[in-house]
Amino acid sequence: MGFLDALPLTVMDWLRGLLGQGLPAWGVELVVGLIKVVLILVVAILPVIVLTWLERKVLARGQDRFGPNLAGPYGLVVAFADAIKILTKEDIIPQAADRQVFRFAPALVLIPTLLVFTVVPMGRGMIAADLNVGILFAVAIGSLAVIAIIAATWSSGNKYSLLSMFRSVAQLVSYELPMAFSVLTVVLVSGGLSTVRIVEAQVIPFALVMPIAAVTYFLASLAEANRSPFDLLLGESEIVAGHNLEYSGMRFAMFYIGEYAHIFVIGALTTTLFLGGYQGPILPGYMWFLIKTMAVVYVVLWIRCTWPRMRIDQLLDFSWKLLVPLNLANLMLVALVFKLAGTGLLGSLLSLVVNVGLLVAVGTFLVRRARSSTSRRTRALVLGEV
Amino acid sequence: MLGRGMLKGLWVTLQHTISSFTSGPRRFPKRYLDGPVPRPEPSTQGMLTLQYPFEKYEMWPRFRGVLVHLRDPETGQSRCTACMACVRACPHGVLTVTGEGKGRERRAKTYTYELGRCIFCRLCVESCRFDAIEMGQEYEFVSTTQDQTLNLEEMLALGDRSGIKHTGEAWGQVE
Amino acid sequence: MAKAIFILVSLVTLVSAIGVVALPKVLHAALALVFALIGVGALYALLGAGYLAVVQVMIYVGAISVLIILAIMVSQRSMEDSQLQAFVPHRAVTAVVAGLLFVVLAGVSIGAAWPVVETAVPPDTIARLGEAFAGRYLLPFEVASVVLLVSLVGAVYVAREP
Repeated sequence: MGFLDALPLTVMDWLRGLLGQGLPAWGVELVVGLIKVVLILVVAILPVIVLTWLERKVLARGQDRFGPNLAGPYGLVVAFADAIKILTKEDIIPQAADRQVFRFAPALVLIPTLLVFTVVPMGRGMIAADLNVGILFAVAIGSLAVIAIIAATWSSGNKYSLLSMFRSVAQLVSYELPMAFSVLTVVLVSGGLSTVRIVEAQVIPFALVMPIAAVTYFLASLAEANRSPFDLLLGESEIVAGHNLEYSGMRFAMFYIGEYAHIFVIGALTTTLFLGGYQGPILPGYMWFLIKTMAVVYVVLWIRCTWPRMRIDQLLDFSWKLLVPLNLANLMLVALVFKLAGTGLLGSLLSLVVNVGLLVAVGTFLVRRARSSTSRRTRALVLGEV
Repeated sequence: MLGRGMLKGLWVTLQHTISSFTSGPRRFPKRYLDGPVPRPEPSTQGMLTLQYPFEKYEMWPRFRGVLVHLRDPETGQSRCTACMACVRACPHGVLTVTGEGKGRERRAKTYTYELGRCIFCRLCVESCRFDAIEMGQEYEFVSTTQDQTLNLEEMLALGDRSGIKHTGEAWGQVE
Repeated sequence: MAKAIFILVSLVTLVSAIGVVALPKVLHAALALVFALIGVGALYALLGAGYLAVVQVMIYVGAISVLIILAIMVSQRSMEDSQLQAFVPHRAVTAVVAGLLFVVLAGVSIGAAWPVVETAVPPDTIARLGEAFAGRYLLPFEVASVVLLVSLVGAVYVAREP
C-alpha cells in the first residue's frame, strides 16, 4: 500500500487526531461523519457536471459532430451554462397537480442514487460504510427509485406521465430479478455481501470469470437507470418525455442530476462487482476505480448513441424469457463449478468455459427454434429477417 | 441475428468516434478552419460539420448574393451611366439612382440599394448594358428594418471583394 | 449518539404511521406507509440486524408498496380527491374496538417477559441464516416457496383470457 494510495486515509487520520484534541469522541465521529457525507455528495454531484458535457461530446463524436464547443475551451463549462439556464426558469406547478407530493418527489428521485455511494469502495479502505450487507443494500436502495417515479408521475396529474409510470414500474420490477440473480452469482463466488469483500475476492475480475452475469448486470442496471436502450419511459415521440414532463426549473434539474448521478452509479457498481473495483497495478486504488468507472460510463454513453429504443413488449420479453432463465442456469452452473473446483484459478477458468458454453448452447437452441418456426416475429427477433 | 446487428452498430459508432479525431478536414486539434471551407466529397470521413458563424463554405460562381458594382479599371469608378434600365427592371423598386452629366459623360451620382426588399432575381443585372453591376458572393446582410440600404461606395467595395471583373462572367455571357 | 438516532428514527416512523391512518388522500397514505416501512427498516439496522433491515426495504418498500400503490391507482375513483369515509358511519364502534385492541396489545407488550440475550449478536448472521435455511429449516423454506409458486400459477390462471 503505497503513499499515494493511502493519502486520503492519512489525511483523514490526521484530521481525526486534530479534532480529537478539542472535541469529545462522539463529536469527532459526528464531524468525520459529516465530512464523509459531504465527500459522498461531491463524488455524486461532480460526475454530473462532467457527464452532462461528456454525454453530449460522446454522442456528437459518434455522429460526426462537435458537440458543445463554444462555452469555454472544448465546451467544458456547458454544465454551468445549463445550471444558470435552469435556475432562471419559472417554477411551474400545474393546477391538476397534487401539490405536496409534486414538490416532494424530485428530492425523492435523488436520494436513492446518493445513498448507493455509501457502500461503494472508491479506493483501498475508502468506503463510507462497509456494511456486511453492502451489495444487498445497493440493490434494495435501487428499488426505491420506483417510489420516486410513482410519486412524481402521479402527482403531476398528467396522463402521459402516468403512462410513463406504468412502463417504468413494469420495467423496474422485471429487471430487478435478473440483476439480483447476477449479483447473487457474484456473492456466491466471493462468499460475502460486503462490497469490500467482493472487490478483494476478485484476483481475476469477475467479468472474465462469468461474463453472462456481468453483461446481465450491466444491462439490468441500464434498465434501472432508464438509460438507452431501455429508456422507453422517456419516449419523446409517444409520451412527451414521460415522468418529468410537468416539471420545470430547479425541480426538473433534480431529475436531470439524478439521471446523470445514476449513470455514475452504474459505472461504480459494475466496477465494484465485476471489474475488480480499486484493484490494479502501479496507479493508486482510487485512480483505478475512477478509470474503470469512466470506462463503463463511456460504454453507457456509447450504447446511447447507437441503439434504438426498445418496445415495451420486447423489453419484458428480453428480461423474462432470456435474462432470467439464462441467469438461473448460470447461477446453478457457476455454483456447481466453484463447489467442485474451488475458487482458485482452475475454478475461474472452468467458470469461464461454462459461461461461454452456456451462451453458445442457448444461442444455438434459439437459432434452431427460430429456423423451424413459422412465426414472423420470432424469425425477425432471432434471425434478423425483415 | 442474436444481437449481431447491435454489435455491428456499436462498431460503426466506434469507428465514427475514432475517425472524427483522426481523419477528415479536422484531423488536427484546431477549432475553426481558416478562410472559406471547401465543400467535402461525399466519401470524406471524419467530422464535417460546418461551424457556421466562424466558418463558411465557398459559394458557387453563379451564387446570387448581394448586388455589387464593378469597377472600371481605367477610371477606378463604376461603369454605371444612370440609364435607369435596372430601376425599370426591378420588380420591387429596390433601386434608386440619380445621375449627373450629359451624353457619354453621364455617370451615376448616387445608387441606393434597399437590401431588405431585394428578392435576388438578377433582373437588374440582366438589364444592364454597361457591364456595371453583378450579383456578388456575400449573403449575410440581415437587417432588422426594411429600409437598410447600401450606397455606391459600399457596393463598389463589395465588388472588389467578390473579385468579379465583368457582368455575366460566371454565366458564360462574356466572350 | 445511538439513542439520538433511535429517537429520530422512531419519530419519523411514528409520524408516518399516523399519516398512513390519518391522511385523507389514499395515495398520500400509501407514501406515508413507504416511509413508515423504511423507518422500521432503520430500526432493524439500529438493532444490528442489517440483513433484516435491507430485506425489509427491498421487499416491503420495493415490491409490496409498489403493488399497493398500483392497486390504488387502477382501482376506481382513487385518482379523484375522494376523502376516505370508511369509518365515518360507525365512529363510536370503531373507537371502542380500537381502544380495546390498544389496551390488550399494550398490556401484553408491557407484561411480557422479554428475554434478554447476554451474548452479543454474532457478526456473520447472514451465513448462519443461509445455513439454517439450507439445513435445519429446509422443509419449511421449500414449502413456503411452493406456496408462492402455487399462488403465482393461480394468478396466471385467473388473469388468463378465457
